[in-house]
Amino acid sequence: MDKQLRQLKTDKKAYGKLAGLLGLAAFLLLIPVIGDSYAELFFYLLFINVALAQSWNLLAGYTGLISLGHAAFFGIGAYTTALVMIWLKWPFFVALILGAAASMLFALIVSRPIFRLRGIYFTIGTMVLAEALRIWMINWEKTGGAQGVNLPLETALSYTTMYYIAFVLAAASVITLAVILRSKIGMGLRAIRDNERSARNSGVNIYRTKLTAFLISALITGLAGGIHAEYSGTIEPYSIFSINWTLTALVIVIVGGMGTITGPILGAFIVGLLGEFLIHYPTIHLIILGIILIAVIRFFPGGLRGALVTLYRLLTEGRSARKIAGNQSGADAK
Amino acid sequence: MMLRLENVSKSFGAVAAISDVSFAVQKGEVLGIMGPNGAGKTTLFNLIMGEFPVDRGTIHFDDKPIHGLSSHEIAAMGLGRTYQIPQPYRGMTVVENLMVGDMFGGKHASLSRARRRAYEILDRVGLADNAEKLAGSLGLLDLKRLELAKALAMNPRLLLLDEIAGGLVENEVVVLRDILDDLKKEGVTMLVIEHVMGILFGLSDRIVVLNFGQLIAQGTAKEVMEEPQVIEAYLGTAHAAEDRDGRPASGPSVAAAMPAASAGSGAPSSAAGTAEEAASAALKGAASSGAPDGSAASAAFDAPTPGTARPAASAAPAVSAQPLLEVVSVTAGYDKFIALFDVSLEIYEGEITGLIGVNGAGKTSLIRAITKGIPLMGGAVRYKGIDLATVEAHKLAELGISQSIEGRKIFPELTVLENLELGAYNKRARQRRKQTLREVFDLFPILEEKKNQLGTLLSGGQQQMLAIGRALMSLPDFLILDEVSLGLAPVVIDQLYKAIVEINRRGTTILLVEQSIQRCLDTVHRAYVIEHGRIVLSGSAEELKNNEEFKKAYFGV
Repeated sequence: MDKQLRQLKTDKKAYGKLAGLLGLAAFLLLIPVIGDSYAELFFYLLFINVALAQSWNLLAGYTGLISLGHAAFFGIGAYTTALVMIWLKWPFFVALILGAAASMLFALIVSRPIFRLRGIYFTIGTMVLAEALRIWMINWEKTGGAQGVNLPLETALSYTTMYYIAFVLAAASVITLAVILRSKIGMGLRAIRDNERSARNSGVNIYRTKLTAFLISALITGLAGGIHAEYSGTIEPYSIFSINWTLTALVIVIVGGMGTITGPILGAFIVGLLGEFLIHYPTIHLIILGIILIAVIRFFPGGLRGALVTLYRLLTEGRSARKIAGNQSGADAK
Repeated sequence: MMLRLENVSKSFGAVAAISDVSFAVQKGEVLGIMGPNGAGKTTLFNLIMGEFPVDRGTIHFDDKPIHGLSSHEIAAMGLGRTYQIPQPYRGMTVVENLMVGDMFGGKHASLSRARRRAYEILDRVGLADNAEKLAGSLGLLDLKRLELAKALAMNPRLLLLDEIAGGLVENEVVVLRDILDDLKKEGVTMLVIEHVMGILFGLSDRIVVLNFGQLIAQGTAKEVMEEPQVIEAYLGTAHAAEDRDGRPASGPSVAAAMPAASAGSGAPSSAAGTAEEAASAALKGAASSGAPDGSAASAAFDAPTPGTARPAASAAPAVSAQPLLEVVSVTAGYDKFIALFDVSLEIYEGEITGLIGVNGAGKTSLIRAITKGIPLMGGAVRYKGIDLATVEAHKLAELGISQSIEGRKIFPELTVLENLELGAYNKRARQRRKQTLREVFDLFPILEEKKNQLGTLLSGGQQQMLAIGRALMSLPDFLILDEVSLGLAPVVIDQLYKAIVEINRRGTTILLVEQSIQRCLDTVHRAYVIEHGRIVLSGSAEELKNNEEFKKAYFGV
């Protein structure tokens, strides 16, 4: 009885969540119709950031692997997409898939050595890899060196089309994460995050499970890179391989709530809005972002999502909690 | 043969952890593994589970070689293990902790099925009420239960249990015993490492005994207990000889600490004579009377020393009138949960004061309240007349307060010497560092022998010595010792208690928290009994021993 009630409650909660998400999706789909090009740009970037944040969170929040090298996946996705379109003249969607594949291939190749590094060393290792790749691309003449390359203008898709493609990516990344987390592999990932030794002795294949997360993360990030290349029309290594992509994802996840699905969505909104408000003060922007990051880590370890959940609980359960407390002190007095 | 080890050897550096060990386990059999601390029991489990490779020898499971396989492959073949120190997935709920084992070890993909099975197991081990809590929020006892539940969730064909009864109180041991008996009836093959002899002897069909990494005996409980080598390994001849010379021992006449143990039939637990005589008599008693739970032997193992001399400390109490530490009407707790209600106690300079209570009574909370680990909700703690509310937590060491924490929290990546030197962190202690180090090494010679080894390579008993040694390095006037004997072999506990009395004799005031009540009362000058967060009884050790109510509650007589 009690169990059924609990189940019903979780179902109700889940349906509520789903309804909220669907409403949000409907609103976002209408943006190009009801909003201006500024809104379109804002939300386009938001989608890219949500996808990046989800893929970063899959590793950091659920597997315990803090990566600072996601710019490498992003850049490889972007460059491969661009080069396939320029050199082979293949259509964007084929190029995009090849870009994501290249990103995953890179992840596969570096996985063995990089998984040998633990904790902070993994973080440093991924950062070094991404930086090395960036410097290589700056110096490689075949891909335009520091100047970068221009994508074919004649086949360029409209900003609105790109908006919808980015929306699909963001939605797909959210759904992918949700599905993974409700599966066996999600269970294994969290077990690895919490206690690798214990997980191994429970039969979890650590390498394969980590690799799966790594590949999915590379896939989503690679797709984001490819889409952004097409959107930008021109790419160069300084910005496309910039560590800022990774750092933005990191800030979004930590501010929103690590190890949750709605956290990064919330975080992307907050960080995106903040960026818009402070767009004319680029230096202060970063300082404020830094202060927020420190404040969140210090005061809301669960991120803003965690803080909101706590607030919600306090508001809704305040009365019953007081009742329980009253009963308890009564029992103690006896 | 379900599991077969042949000539297995493993060394860590120059230390031979396991040398040339061979034995086999049949399907449905329960094999007990005994041995003093540091004998290599846990290392053996680690080798079977493939946590590190064997140097030599072979391990077969179901006639398939498993040495050289990785841990997850071995686990997926149907081997489940528990850890002596619980290894939960802290960020996952209790039920999810079990689901991992079911889905990966048991190779099932369905979450709902795994959840259902997990609930069944949680019901069985008594954790169902905590199913949806985060594992990280559980206390040590529930974590121990979770360890067992996690292993069971894998639906293992061979279960490796490492000290799952350590630290449990008597009625919890009984519950655990029932669970294990049921498993045995269901035909689960088990390998059991256990210091609680009641469980080990009652459950095991056969026992193998390890000492210094070597297999020194195997057979039925009765057979191995008659082996002189086993008696020597457990009780130590040197120790017994010392008692014969009439020198004071630290914890004499330690009768059974738990009611369950003292209820055993015909256990000459406080018999006079040498330790060997007492022990082997008790062992024979246990084995021949066929005591199903082996409690007689358990009594003997808890009581290896004959009741001759009183401890030096209580013979000459050097008590001053002014209390060194005063706890005045302290109320404290964690968030919504109040652990201490209006607790008052006084600790006098030069004394050993005991704190007695079952698990969850508030012992560790009281220590945390004294050492500023949890905030006070009311009352005050005064040390040498100073209100500790005005002192920052990290300054306590400078005031001369030091503690050896429950669970022996040493730094595993540092050497023994580095661990000790870290203890002498405050300025006063740093200046006298070399001298103090000498004194600690005199107290625990094994630490000097192993001073360049990593903390992780020490056995449980040696880790406890290191933890106490580190606490001493800060030159404390007041030393808090929490659960010194938890999970240690009697011979090691004896050594530790000898050291504790010696530390006190040199002038350090001690607050001793101990589960083994008899041992505690034999060592301390005065003691406080805590129940449900309240001090319910206090007095000198003698007074408590003669208090009928107390005897009834804690000794079951």
